[in-house]
Parts: sequence; structure tokens; C-alpha cells
Amino acid sequence: MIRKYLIKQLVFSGLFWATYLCAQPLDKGGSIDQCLESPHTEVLLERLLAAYPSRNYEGTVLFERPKERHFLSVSWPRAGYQGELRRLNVGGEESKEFWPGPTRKFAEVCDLARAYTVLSSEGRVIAGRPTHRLTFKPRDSLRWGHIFEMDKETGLALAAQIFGPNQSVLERFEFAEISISAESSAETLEQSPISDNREVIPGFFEVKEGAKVGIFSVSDGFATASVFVEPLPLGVPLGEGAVVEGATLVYSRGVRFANKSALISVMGEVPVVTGRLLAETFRQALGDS
Amino acid sequence: MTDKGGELELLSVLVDDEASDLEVRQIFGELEANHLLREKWSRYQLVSEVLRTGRVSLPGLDVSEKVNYKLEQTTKTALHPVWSVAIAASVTIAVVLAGQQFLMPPPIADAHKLVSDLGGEVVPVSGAEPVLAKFDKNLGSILNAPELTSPKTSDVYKGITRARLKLFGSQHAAVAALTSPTPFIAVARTHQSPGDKEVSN
Repeated sequence: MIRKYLIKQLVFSGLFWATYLCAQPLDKGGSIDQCLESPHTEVLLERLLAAYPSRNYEGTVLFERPKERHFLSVSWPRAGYQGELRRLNVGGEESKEFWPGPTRKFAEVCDLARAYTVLSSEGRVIAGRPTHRLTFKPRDSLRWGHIFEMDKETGLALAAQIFGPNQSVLERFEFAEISISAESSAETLEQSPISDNREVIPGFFEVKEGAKVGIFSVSDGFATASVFVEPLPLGVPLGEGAVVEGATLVYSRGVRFANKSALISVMGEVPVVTGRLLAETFRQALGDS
Repeated sequence: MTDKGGELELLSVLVDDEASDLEVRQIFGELEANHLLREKWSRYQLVSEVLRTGRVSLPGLDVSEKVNYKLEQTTKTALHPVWSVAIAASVTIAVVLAGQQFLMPPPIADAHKLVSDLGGEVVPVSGAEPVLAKFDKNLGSILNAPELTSPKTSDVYKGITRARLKLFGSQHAAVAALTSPTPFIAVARTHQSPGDKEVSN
């Protein structure tokens, strides 16, 4: 009798724990193992996020958008912890432009896993180097999809594209040739601030605020949108308009609040619906201030 | 316990529908314990039927013993309680695991093909429902506001947005370069093309 009782208790206990463990959700911001289902994909994504700026590189890039194509010469790093870009086919003259080096990781694996479904597969040979392909499928309609083809050896992104609805390619780039040197002596980057910051709209977190210059930026780890607020120019009626250039949206909206008028402009690699949502969020914030 | 004569007298009173409540309870108790009395009761019912209707049902039909026998056999072949619990637990675990498998997305054979087969803007993902933007209740009215449908207003804002693209492009590029594995593309985007695409409202 006692043995039968113990067996019965054992069966019930096993049933309870099996059900409990199977029902456990993913922890938000937990370890990498809990953010992506595939350990292999996790490793690749972590390498992609860490590759820049830990590697010195120099090469020629083809950058394409609908109705335009640019050939660029890029190199990292240059003096002053900056990257350098030269446009090779602009008016027959070369012009140098610079981008700032990062001081913090721009995203963590879990940040991206919240906004995108990440898939890995074999990539093409790009600039003579084999690659892994990482596909980022958006979990909602507030962002575009991304595909990165990263160098198998170093993790650097050698090609990428942003795609919109119906897999339409909005813009893409690819290294035609690249030389990668040993790891640079750049300092270890601090953790990304995204997940610790305020979520402004679903999946987009505050990354920069500069009240003096009227700029406020949000990011989901890949896509960044900046909001600019200025007085509504005289004679401009209330309304909205948008321009899309490749993957870049510029959305402007004239609003009225508390007997004042303002022009809210949203610029970023996001769909129009995200631009509208951000503008409305800021309109409400202005009205409440 | 009454004697035999008394039992038959009670039975007769019952058949004649003249028994009191106490007598009814008494005779039913006797019927339950005495099968000879039950047989006599059965014959009384048969006679009563013949007198009333002139017909007779199957006199030999008595299913009570067979039913009782069947019930006893069914009880003997019932599962041991421990086995019952074990089977229930196994079925439950199988249902839980099968449900999880059902909800999991199918294995991806070819990511290229998968990307090309996607349709629409919202990608259904197992375990993660698409997040809908929480539009303010006033947003709909703003999008449908009469001033937004004016062609003149639309033209004005097209010019405004093009001007903002040139005015704020560098500032946005500086921030975007800090949040991308390919920062040079953020700078490359600041080049203005003559044929930018306008989005009409």
C-alpha cells in the first residue's frame, strides 16, 4: 500500500513539474541562451555586434538604392577615432567625410531578439571571403527587415540589405574589395544602453536627447530614427508629408498645441507608420508640457 | 421479519394497491432479501397483466441477474488505480509536448527561399505576437483631417520634407552611425539624389 502511494505521488509530482517547466516564458534581458533558440545563431550575432570596431579595415563599397548607385572608399580607423568615407563617383571629385567611433555597444543580442526574429544560413563569397548570412525578420510593421552577410573569419559585415514589404529591397551595399588587418587596440566597449533606456514607442528606445538643438533619437538596435522639433514656419498650414529615399524616411507634420504651432520632423530608416507614431508621441508630449 | 404467511399477505395488499407507506417499505425490504418472494411477485404481475390487457409479455424475460453479473465482471476487470494515474500523466505530458511542437515554426530549409516567400509587413512568429503600434485615439482623426487631403497642403509639405532631409541629414547620420554595424552607410545616405520618392498622403 505504501509503495503504491509513493508511486502515485511520484507520478503526480513529475506531471506537475513537467507542466510548470514547459510553461516557463523567456526572461526579458536574460542570458544569450534564452534570447535566441539557436546557439549557432547567437554566436554569429554576437560576433557581428563585436566585430566593429575591433578590426581595422579598408575597402571599396558599392552602395545602391533605387535609381542611384554610389562607389565609396571606406577605412577604419583614422586619426581621432573616426572612420573615413570618400565618394568616388560624385561629380568626378573625391570628398572626405567622417563618422564617429562608438564608445558603447550599439545593441545586445536580447535587444535585437525582441524586435527581430534572427535566422542564420550560409552566405555568398563576397570580396573573395566566405560569409555567414544573418536574416532579421521584423516582429512588427514598425521596422524594416535586415540581411547581413558577415565575414566568417572576422565577423565584419561585408554586405547588407534592408528590405521592406513584399521583400522589396530598399537599399543594399556590398564590399567589392576589402583588406582586414589584425584586431585593433580599441578599448573594450561598454554595454549598450538601449535596454536600460526609456521605450518611446514599441521596440524603440531613447538613445540621444539634445534639447538645445531640438533632436531626439530612438533606436531598436538596428534602425534609428531622429525627431526634430522646430517652430512651424509662417504661412505653413497644419498637415503632413513624407519623402522616402531608399530606406530613409523623412516625415514632417505641422501640429498645434496650447495655442502654439510646431513642425515635427522624423528622419530614419523606418516605415511611414513609425514616423507618424513618433510624431504623434511628441505632439502629445508637447501638449502636456 | 414477518412469517411466510404475513409476507404473502403484504404482497397481496401491495398488488391490490391498498398498502400503507409502512407496509410498502416493509414488503420492499422483504423482496430485496427473498428471491422466492420476488418470483411470486413476478407471477402476480403476470396475472394482473393478463387480466387487464388479455396479453402477456415474455414471461421468462428477466434481465436483472444478467445485468448484475455483467456489472460484477466489469468491476473485476477495471484498471488498477496506479496504472490509471500513470496513463493520465503520460497523456497529459504528450499533449503538452505536442502542443509546443505544434506552435513551433517549421524548420527552415533555405533561408533565402524563406525570405523570398514572406509576404506583408507583419511576420507571424511563434511565441511572439506581432506588436501593434498603440495609436492614440486622436491619431485616426488627424490622419483623416481635411487639411491633409488638400493638394495644396500636400505640395507644401513635400517641399518641407525635402528641405528637412538636407537640413538634418548630417545630424541624423551622426547618431545612426553609432547604432549600426555598418556606420559608413549612415554617412553615405546623406548624399541627396535628384529623384527621391515622394509619399503622398
